[in-house]
Amino acid sequence: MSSLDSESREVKKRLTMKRGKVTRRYRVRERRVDWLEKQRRDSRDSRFDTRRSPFKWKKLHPRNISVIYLAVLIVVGFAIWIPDTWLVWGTHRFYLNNEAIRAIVAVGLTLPLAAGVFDLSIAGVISASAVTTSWAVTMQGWPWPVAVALGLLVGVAVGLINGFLIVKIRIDSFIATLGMSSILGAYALWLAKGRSIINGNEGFKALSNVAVAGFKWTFVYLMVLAIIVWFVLEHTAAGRYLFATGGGRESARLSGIQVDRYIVGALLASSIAAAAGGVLFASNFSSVNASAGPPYLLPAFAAAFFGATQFKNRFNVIGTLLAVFVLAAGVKGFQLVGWGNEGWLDDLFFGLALVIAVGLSTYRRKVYGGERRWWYSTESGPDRFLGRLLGWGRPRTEASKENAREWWFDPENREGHHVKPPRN
Amino acid sequence: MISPAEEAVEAAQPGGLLLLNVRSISKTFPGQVALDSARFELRPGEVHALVGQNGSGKSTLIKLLSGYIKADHGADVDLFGRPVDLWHRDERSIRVRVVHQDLGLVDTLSAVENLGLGHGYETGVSGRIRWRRENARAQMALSAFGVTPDVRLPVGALSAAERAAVAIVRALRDLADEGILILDEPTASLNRDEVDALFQAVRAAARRGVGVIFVSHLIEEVLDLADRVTVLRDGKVVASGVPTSTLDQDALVHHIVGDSVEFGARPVRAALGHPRLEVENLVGVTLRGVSLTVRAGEVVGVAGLLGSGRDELPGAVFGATPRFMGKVLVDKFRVFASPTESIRASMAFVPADRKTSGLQPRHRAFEHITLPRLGPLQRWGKLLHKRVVGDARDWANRVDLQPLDIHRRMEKFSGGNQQKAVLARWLRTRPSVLLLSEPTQGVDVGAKSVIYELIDRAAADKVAVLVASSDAGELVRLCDRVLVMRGGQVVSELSAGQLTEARVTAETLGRTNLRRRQRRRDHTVAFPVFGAVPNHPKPENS
Repeated sequence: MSSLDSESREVKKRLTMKRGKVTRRYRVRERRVDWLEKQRRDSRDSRFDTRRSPFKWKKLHPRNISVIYLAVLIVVGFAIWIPDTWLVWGTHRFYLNNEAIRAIVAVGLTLPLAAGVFDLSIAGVISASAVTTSWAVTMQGWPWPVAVALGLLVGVAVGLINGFLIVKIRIDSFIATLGMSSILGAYALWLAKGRSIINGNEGFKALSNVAVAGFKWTFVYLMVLAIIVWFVLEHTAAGRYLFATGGGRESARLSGIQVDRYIVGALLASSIAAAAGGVLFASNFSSVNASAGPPYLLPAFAAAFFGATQFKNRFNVIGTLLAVFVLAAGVKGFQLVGWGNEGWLDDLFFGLALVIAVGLSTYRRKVYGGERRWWYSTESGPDRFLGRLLGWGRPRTEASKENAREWWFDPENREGHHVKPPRN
Repeated sequence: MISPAEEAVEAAQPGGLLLLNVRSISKTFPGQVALDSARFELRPGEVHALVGQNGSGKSTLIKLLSGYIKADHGADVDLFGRPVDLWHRDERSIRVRVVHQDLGLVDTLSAVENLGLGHGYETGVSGRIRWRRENARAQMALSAFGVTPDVRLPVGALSAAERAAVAIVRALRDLADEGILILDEPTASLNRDEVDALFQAVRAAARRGVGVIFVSHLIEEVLDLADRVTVLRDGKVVASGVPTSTLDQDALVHHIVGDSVEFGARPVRAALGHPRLEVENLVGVTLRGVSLTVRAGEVVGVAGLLGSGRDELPGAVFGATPRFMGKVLVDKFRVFASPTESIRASMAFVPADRKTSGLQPRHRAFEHITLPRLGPLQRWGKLLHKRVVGDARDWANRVDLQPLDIHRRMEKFSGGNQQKAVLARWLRTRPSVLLLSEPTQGVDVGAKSVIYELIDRAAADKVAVLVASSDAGELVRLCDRVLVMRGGQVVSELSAGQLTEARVTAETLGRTNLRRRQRRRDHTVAFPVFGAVPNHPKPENS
């Protein structure tokens, strides 16, 4: 495609370099000309995209980084409220270590979610691998590395079966993994004979011992996993393909992406992460039974979805990690104050934060241009009290109503979706 | 006291009451005038056809009449003899009903249930629906249109003609024998007998005094059914209310196509290169043995009606839809039927359905543009963000993306710019074969000319281009050669000398529809002509 290329900057640069080899001065002048041209081009059209990075101030809006504001609020708030227990390193180390398993599962879960499939089988995988591992170590007396390998193998197997069901048999991912989770729960109950298995193997327990600076190995594993997943999602072609698969499967397929492979890979990864979580659970808690997994399911999903509202509006590792740990910090703080020691605070906090974060991120994001939130809608509904009272929304003129309605319906006017309506 | 029917007949005389009198109505979309002070009038009891090419403003006019979009300021419309604002109006009193191409029925509900949607049902004690009475009533209503389906069956199980009747009855139920019924290409999915049944139903409705607006591409049907014709071209009315008795097919085609030339002329191509793309005996869902060759630097068009295989061909060549038989060769190398393989063989495919298969709506433009060829943008497996962004910006620049903000989400670009970005995505892969399906569907005029220019330049770079389009003008503008498809086969080929819009349109429609339908039915019975599978599993001769 020579004529298209002749205008590309790449080719021009290469030509410049070739000429530049003749004299240095020539090259410098060429560069100068290039620079001037660029300046001229930029000043000519202010819409020209010259930003080095897509940073905008509005990225600091609470709807984008609510978890950061929440973190600041929690840290500062408790530092004022209970300074002598809160401003101790051990407090923070405690929940960082404690929540590591939950974070491992949640980070693993971001991969299938990015690819647009649900993996509900993680609950079953945690139970199954935890029970399998402790069964092998305690009841069979096998060496612990073998047992750990067996536990992870459960994850591999489940990931492959999930992939097969979803990609080949084309069962909806939600249903396939839900069924799988149930089957695995049954397997765990059967293997443990409905009882708890008590671990005694010191080598196995050492897997979740303290490693460095008071952090447990569990936390170290989490960090390693998080860095790998983060790198894959943000900095490799595979990550792009995963997001493309999630963003539109047919269009990704037509772009030459082998969609099925990426879906299977993502399911495999999340199952293995969940299996690792199960193994660490078995190593961390001396008593393991089949009910180990289910309590991890909803927090993992909540963290992944909460994380997805942060920073870039799609599933991302950093958001997920922060979601897990900031909320854990909040719970810990309240426990230190003396609230919610019965365990209800955890779930309450997670649920509230999820709803508020997702609400914030979709708040006032207009759907098809026209309709706003019902509670101050200018179109219909109860705007007569709240919206009117607070003076929110557009003034209810005929013109603005027409605009809103037209944007809603007009299939051609795609531009209208992000254009602010005229103030009357 | 005269009956409503007689009243309608009386009113249908010239000079009588008009159901609808549009003296002037315009609609402007950003960047294009969809409808420019159109005139239209409708008498009670007449069938008034509205014809024109794609993008001529037919559907805009219908949307305006049905209150779906708002007209520009200054519309002057009388409805039932009174001036009316089509936008601010009472939906119930307006009595304009539209039956769309897909009929708008819920396939899983029965005919009775469908008829009652939006009306409610007759109920007895404790809100129980009196199904028996409803059934009987529905049966009666439908039998007035010459069909007697089992009204308790799901609508999906009925024949096409019965479904059409159900849709019309549902529309008429609101109108109560006086009003406007708009039929938007209702015959697209029907065969000849079913079309006849539908036409009888429409005539029955018209006899009752309903004014029918009939939108169709098929000229013969228009001449068959309609009393008068209004022709739209490029948003303007070129023939208003011409009685069909004074028209023949050629005159109507001339009205529809006109002789306007836009978007410049087709460039003179350099000498064509070797055969780049060869397709042999391709059999797909609707394709039945298509063979074609595209040479390097050649633009070949594919014309045909919906369902003729025109819309399937590029995707089938690319491997996006299944291929049951046949070979595809690029530069003499055989390519297997999978998008991945096709891309590896340097093919590129711009699908017609942009929203679901062309792009990821939530992705940013730079991600979208760079997706199929990330290889050169990475080092040691890591994507170099600067390179990604630089490359994307470069390509956005080349295709003149507006606004040139590569961090914007794809869904926020206008249709034309989305299509430009899709083209950028594929041109960036340096294809040697470019397959395009409806490249300018839902695209404004400015973007259209950019897209044409890009395709011309690709051809100048020795790319073999295959364009499937329903827009005859577009094919004439772009192509060196046009293949006309009917019934899944290439039936004729128009070379450069023969390429005119009228010729393409005429070939596409097939001058005589009746014979065409007959012929297609023949194929399904005895198909051994191409050695391909017939489209139903058991041929009658076996």
